[in-house]
Amino acid sequence: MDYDVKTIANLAHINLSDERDAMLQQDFGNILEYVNTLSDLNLESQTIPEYHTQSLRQDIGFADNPRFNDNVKQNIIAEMPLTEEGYLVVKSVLKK
Amino acid sequence: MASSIEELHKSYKNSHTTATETVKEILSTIEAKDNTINAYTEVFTDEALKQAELLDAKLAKGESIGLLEGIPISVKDAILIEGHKATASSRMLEDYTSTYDATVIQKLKKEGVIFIGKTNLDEFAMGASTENSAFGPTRNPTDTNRVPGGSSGGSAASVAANMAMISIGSDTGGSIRQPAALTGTVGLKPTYGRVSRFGLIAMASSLDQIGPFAHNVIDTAHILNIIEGKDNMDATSAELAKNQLLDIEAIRKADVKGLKVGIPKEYFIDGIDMAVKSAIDETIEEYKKLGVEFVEVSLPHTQYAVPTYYIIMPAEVSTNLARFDGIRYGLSELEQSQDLQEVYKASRAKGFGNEPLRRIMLGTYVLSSGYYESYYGKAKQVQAMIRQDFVNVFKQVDAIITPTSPHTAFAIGEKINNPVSMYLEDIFTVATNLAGIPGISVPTLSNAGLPIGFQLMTNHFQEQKLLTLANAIDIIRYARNNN
Repeated sequence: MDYDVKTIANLAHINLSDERDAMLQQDFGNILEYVNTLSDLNLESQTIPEYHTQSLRQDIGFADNPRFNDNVKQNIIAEMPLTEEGYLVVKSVLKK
Repeated sequence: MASSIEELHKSYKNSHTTATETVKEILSTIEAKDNTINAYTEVFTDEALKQAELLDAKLAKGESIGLLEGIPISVKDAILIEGHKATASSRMLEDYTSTYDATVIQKLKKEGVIFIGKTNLDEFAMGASTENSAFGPTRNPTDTNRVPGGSSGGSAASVAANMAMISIGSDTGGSIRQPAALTGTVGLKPTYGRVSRFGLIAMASSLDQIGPFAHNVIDTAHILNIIEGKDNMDATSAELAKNQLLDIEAIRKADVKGLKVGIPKEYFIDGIDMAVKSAIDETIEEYKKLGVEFVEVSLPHTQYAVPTYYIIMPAEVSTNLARFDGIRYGLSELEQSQDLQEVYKASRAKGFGNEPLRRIMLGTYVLSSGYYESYYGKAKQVQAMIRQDFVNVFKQVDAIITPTSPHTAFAIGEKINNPVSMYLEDIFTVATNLAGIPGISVPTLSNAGLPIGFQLMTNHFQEQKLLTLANAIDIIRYARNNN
């Protein structure tokens, strides 16, 4: 199977320690081997049924919903790791 | 403590007990047992006692009370209760406080239930043993060297050990039914969309469903009756038709004569414990005495259910858990990092345990360019075939019966280092989630050793039939246990 654990970790935005890299090298191969049993199933000659559980609706926006009290916004801001004057602090995206 | 919601309600009304006595009894049970069992991540001692006092004052004034008022309930720590921690048993959310109530919590609060606390789970509901918790494993109350199942193992154990009367859990691939089976409790996964998922920390949104644990089937019906229904905050929640609403009196009567139940030949495979097979056979014989007809049915794509699940679920996990990036909430390495990418990578590496890591990575892989069609695309096609198998079978029968788990509770540590072996724990439960149908695990009549559960499944929104059938065996179990 064609995979590179470090590349996948990079795509998933996760730093991998050497220990976890070793664990995943082994586990990933075993898991992929198992899920690859689906490749035994030939669906080309079969008609795949289409289904929808139910039609989707528009969600009500958080701010428009009367069930949320006035404190919700403050509570959400309080959960942010770093804020300045009520705004979320984000590190620079572009490197100098 | 009373054994059911109705019994406790009567005890309150007849002044045989008070809410304060009930809560104190539960808190002392938690104090005595939970150091070993580790079912709770947080206990709301003061809040629960205060709420009990208010209810007692109401009763003292002779005011009438609702059926669920004063019923002690625990909640899986992946469901939000405003002002309380919602950790998902992960370091990532260890210090996170919920900013609002989940819809199910809001509905239960309106009924006046007493929340006892939050219960342990496999991190982000990923696991089948509750060993993957950042706060240590939960132990099975029947044998504390064994697992209680998972991921809602804390919920199941809290009910089994009388540390709550009811618990609210979630089920993505069996996370209510399998722990119910392993702990001797009743666990119901409703039809996808019957109960709002708003306020449930998402694992795999197209498969997740909230449902109750209880000591008996009627209690699960009472809870479902309250928590179900359309919610404008969950676009997949369903408006129930009149014929889909529960009639609890009819469930209580358990008239199952003439119902036809399918036995899927693919589920009765090599590898099932003899004790489990005997217990299911005994259940079938009891049903036959009640006039239920059994026929063999086939669900030909069953063998592909687990691999299909382990492609679709991680794909959704990898997208749902992308929000845990150290920026908006949860564990953050923001101050220690130089740039945005480093914040993401360092926060996620530190916050996620090994199982979420495996699933995020697997999901990222199956959704990546060049692999999407062969993995995710194909799995979605197979999911449609699995669903069609059930639709076809439910043209012939009213329900399907299977074991919930191929064996009884296994030892702590036995499977934790073998992910594929752990994934196969879901072998009898995942197809229900893939098809979106309801399923319930009910204790069998077996009294030998560790608990064994059987699973019933019906067509979409046929919970009335599901609970009626389940209650028929529950009545026999209750009668035997009280003789």
